[in-house]
Amino acid sequence: MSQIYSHTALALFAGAILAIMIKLNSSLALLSTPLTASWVAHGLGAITALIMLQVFNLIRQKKHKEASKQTINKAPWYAYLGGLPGAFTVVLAAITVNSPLGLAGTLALALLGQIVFSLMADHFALFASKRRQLGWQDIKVLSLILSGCLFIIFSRSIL
Amino acid sequence: MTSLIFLALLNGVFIGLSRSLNGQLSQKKGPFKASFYNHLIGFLALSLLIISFNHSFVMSLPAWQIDTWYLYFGGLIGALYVALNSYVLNQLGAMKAALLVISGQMLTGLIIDWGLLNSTLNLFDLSGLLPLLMQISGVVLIILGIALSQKKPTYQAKSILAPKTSSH
Repeated sequence: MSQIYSHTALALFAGAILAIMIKLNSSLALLSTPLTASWVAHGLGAITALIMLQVFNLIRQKKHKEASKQTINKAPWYAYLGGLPGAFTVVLAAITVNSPLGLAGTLALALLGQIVFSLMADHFALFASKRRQLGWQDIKVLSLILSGCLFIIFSRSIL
Repeated sequence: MTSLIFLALLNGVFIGLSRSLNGQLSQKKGPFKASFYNHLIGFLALSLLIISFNHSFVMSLPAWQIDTWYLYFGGLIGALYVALNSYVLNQLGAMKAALLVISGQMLTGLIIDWGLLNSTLNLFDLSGLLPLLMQISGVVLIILGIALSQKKPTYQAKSILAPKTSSH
């Protein structure tokens, strides 16, 4: 049970640093261009991830010797391509933010697209995930969080 | 307008697809390798885009100055974010992870905005009151949603979309 709480805390923390990341990247984009800012962020991110991987491996090797266990597992080729749709979101967002949809419309519709996609992924157990079917409680949680997000998103366009 | 709405929805689908693919890679290779490949492939794809658009990118970058250096930390935070997200996605499922990440993002975004605006809020100014009320109710709704997501249902969760397949 406490594991569920810690995963929740980790997910919330991931969202928190995502917000800081977006703030920094969009400030950089204002000084240059969205494409350039994202290019730099991805380059620095790759180097940082490599350093974190090495540090993590060093710590783990001290704990148990069988550190190479995970590298034996093969992943399908397309699983390596997660960065591709991620990079394209920069281009798509640049188009829609500077359109009648604005930032609020872009955020709200991206939220919707994300929810629909993740529902499908869970329901059909896509991308090697466990099958997780929607229950009433999930629908309640979904409606509460979604409506809260929409309130916050559209409060900014009123300002 | 219809095509713009489609593009904005596609943006969300791409965000979800990216996270699910990274989650799948993370299952086999670990979250840090997933984060590394995500950033490497993204970097290569954006390099191609920049070259093909003949984008004058290096010129437009701000120099490493005293007041802009921290803007480059976005990429460093991104590396940790993708690793964390890939890990929790496998633990919680795509939807629950997405909802909780979005919650953390919205609440923090609001705190950043409130901090940066540092506006001396005039409660008697009605034009500022409506957005504030919307934001407070948004925060309350999100926190209620997070709290409810922690409650274990007492009954066996039944699927609404496909009740028949659960008997297998």
